[in-house]
Amino acid sequence: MLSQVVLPIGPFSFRINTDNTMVLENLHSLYQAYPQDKSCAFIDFDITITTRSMLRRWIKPQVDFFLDEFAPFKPLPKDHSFAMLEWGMNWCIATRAHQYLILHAGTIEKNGHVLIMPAEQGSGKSTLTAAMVYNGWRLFSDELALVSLKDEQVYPCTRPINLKNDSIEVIKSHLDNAVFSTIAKDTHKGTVALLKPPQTSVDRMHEPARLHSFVFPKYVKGATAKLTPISNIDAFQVIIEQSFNYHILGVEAFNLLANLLTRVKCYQFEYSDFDEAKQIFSDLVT
Amino acid sequence: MHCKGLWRLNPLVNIRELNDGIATFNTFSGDTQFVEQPFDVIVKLLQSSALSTEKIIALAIAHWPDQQPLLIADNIKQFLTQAADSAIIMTS
Repeated sequence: MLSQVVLPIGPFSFRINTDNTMVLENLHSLYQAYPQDKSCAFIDFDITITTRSMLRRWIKPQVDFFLDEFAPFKPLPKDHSFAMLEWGMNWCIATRAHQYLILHAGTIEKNGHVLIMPAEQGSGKSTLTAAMVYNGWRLFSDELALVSLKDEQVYPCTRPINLKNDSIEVIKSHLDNAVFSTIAKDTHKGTVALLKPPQTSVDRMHEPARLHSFVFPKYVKGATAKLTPISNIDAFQVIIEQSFNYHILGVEAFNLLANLLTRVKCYQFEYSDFDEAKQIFSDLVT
Repeated sequence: MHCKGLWRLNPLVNIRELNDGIATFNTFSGDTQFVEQPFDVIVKLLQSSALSTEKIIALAIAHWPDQQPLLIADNIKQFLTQAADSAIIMTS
């Protein structure tokens, strides 16, 4: 018997259908404070996470992810159910929400100023995002920056923050009372856990804001925090590399990025200490 | 070096100025390219006029009187070849 949870998240509505206890427990734990409205008039993404056939319920149990009736991924171990849901939700947005230029980036906001932090996997952007949003910054996303083609504002897609491997313990030790999902071990990304977003970010997840700067973060052990301006051409190239749909949007994305880069600054950011990062980011938007 | 003729901006290419050069987008191929300073000046010139290699070199020499003319000419010819290979400019 499938249970249903309807989640409005920023500009999207998800309906999650599942018979998986782990998914339901983690949805309750991490999304409890989100408005939940079963009567929501329009569903953008109708997702089903379900345990596989009879044999696979008992022998190396696996789960499937469906968007409508389409299964875009191979099954995963049942222990990875909730992580699979979150990755699947990212995939839904990244492959379909082409009213936005979508970047692989951490995105945070303070004083009406948005910082977009495009970076490769393993650069530490989610860890940095997690540390910032529990220190006065609003979470837009740790994974997907959504820049509207229509009004050039950045739109939140506030969801749990995906942390991996050592960063889980780093954030646990940095934050009091942090709420995490069930930890998934031995995934293709290593050990994964999701951090509940701050309530203040969830409450304001329908408020877009204007881009202030692109900041390209890089964790360097022992480094003193340093913000270094970089050229617009260098920034443009990296942003394209970190875009999910630049190649689909074509000239619209090109013009959007050119417009943004004529009015925002771009920086390389090296850091190892969250308190130093917090100070530098605050000075940037003051 | 490409065939003799007048150079012009590829009509399928959109250009946008950035603070350190220009970005170009080919609306047929979807290709994005960048031209750093000082060669962005040439692309912007070719957006409004078709010019020969010799004319471009003459304009560059006049614009940078402190530079060696032979060096300028070599750099311009190299740039024109690369820009043509990238389909940013073409001969008419």
